[in-house]
Amino acid sequence: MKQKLLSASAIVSSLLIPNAYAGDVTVYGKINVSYNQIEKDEAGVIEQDNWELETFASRLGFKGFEKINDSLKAVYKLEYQVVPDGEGGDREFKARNSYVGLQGSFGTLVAGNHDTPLKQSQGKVDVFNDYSLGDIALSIPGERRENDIVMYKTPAMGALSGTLAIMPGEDSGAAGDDEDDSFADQISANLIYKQDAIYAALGIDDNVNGLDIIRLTGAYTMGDVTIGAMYQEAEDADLTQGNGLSDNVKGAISSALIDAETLTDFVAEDQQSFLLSVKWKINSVVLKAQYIDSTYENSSTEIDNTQMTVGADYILSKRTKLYVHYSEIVAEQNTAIGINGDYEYTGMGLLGMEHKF
Amino acid sequence: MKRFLTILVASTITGLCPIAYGDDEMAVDSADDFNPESFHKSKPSEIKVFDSASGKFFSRGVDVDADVADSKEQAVKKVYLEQDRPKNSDHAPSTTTLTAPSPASSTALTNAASTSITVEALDVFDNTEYPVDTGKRYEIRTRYTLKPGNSASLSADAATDIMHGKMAQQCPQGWEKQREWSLPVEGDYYLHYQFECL
Repeated sequence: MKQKLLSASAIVSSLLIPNAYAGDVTVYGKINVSYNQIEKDEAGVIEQDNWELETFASRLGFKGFEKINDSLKAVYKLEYQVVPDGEGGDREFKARNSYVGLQGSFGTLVAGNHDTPLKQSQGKVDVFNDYSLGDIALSIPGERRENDIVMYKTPAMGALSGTLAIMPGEDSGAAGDDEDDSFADQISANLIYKQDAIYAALGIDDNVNGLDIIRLTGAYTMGDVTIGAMYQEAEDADLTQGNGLSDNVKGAISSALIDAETLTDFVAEDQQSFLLSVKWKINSVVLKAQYIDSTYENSSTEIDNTQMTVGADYILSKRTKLYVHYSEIVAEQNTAIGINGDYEYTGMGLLGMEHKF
Repeated sequence: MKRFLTILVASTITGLCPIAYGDDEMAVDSADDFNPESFHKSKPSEIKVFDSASGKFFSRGVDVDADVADSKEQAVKKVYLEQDRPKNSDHAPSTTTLTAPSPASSTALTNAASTSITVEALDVFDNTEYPVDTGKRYEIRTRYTLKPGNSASLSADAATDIMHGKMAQQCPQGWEKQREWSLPVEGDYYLHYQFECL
């Protein structure tokens, strides 16, 4: 009897913990600072006109895995924002993309806090990603990092891959606060094709932070030149409640939308935008330019917004670069909704440095 | 929490000095994407808080040597894992104490030509016997000094003896040396051999 028990327990133990071992635990990150001159003019009212040392998405991260068996791994990632200019406050060590999950031949399933699949679908088309006045988030809604996200990515299917994420609603479920309290009130998904010189992606958000969005992105590389393009349409998922377009975008257009709503009850219901970007590598120098045109409208009127950024990187090594840039964002006046002058934001990056590790 | 992270960052960055990286995209560049299959693969160029190969914490990162071969048809980029000197070594101890992982692989890159050669870096002080792979190219290196009064490092003759001993161990049927070169390091030199088993 005892011998049978020992044999059975040995068999069970081997099944439960078959050859599990911890893989490497890796630290990574980047530190990025830029000395910038910022001007914010909102219909003739100067909101800001000064110099600042800014940091663009500096971070510290840890990643690792445990091999459970030959076909299953536990994976994890913890990433935190760091603010090396010393003005972090609440932003210091704020969680960025972080998760824990399982990876196998079925794909990868994780849960935590992460950029939505729609945001991921931009690829590298945003050539000024994370720049304070260059990022597309200052013109185009949908650039979300969501809490409470459960995300699944398919295994690679040749050049195709897909990602699906669900997030619960934000309501508590108590009486009067139970409109969005279900298992998957918010859904985000993408389908990406990446092969050699071609990148193409479709991204969709359903009621993510109050918006329904569809986004098409493409990029093509010819030698040292990469051209990118994006088209997006978004609409408020429920005008009677929740967050609207003004809550999902930053920059001059966000201020204009908020002021218009305050002054004249103007609420944007729909949004369209397109983006063109180009990146040209010449030896150690990378020249970049990006233009975005977006329109926020309802049935009666609209606000037009344009964003233009140019810049250059000087590559010192694979991990270190110097860079300069200039950004200009204009949300155009519309006196019918109380916007009596253009809202203009400009940013000149005199010199920036980034080091990755 | 903040103090712990600060101490952790200071210790990892000051204790680990990866000099350069291979061709793989850096983890930080792909961190915002969600490509977990490649993101969670171990890469020799990364800073490791825990190195599963050696079982050590805060193990030193990878010292990357980039070297272009004389031949116009091929360029070689090698990745070495730093080596521990065994405590019972008959030779003078190195001034550098490092980890001794299993052999690392490196990839030779070509220019416009489509041919490529895989070069496997071996630890000259690793006595593990690996299967002989005829035609496979290996690379080994040993540090030596040309300064007569420097007893902390091997002489060129002693380094050559060690290198020949390793080639004999790896290729008991004989070998053909493909390349030999030296690179300066901290006042000494690294003697490199590339060879193939016959």
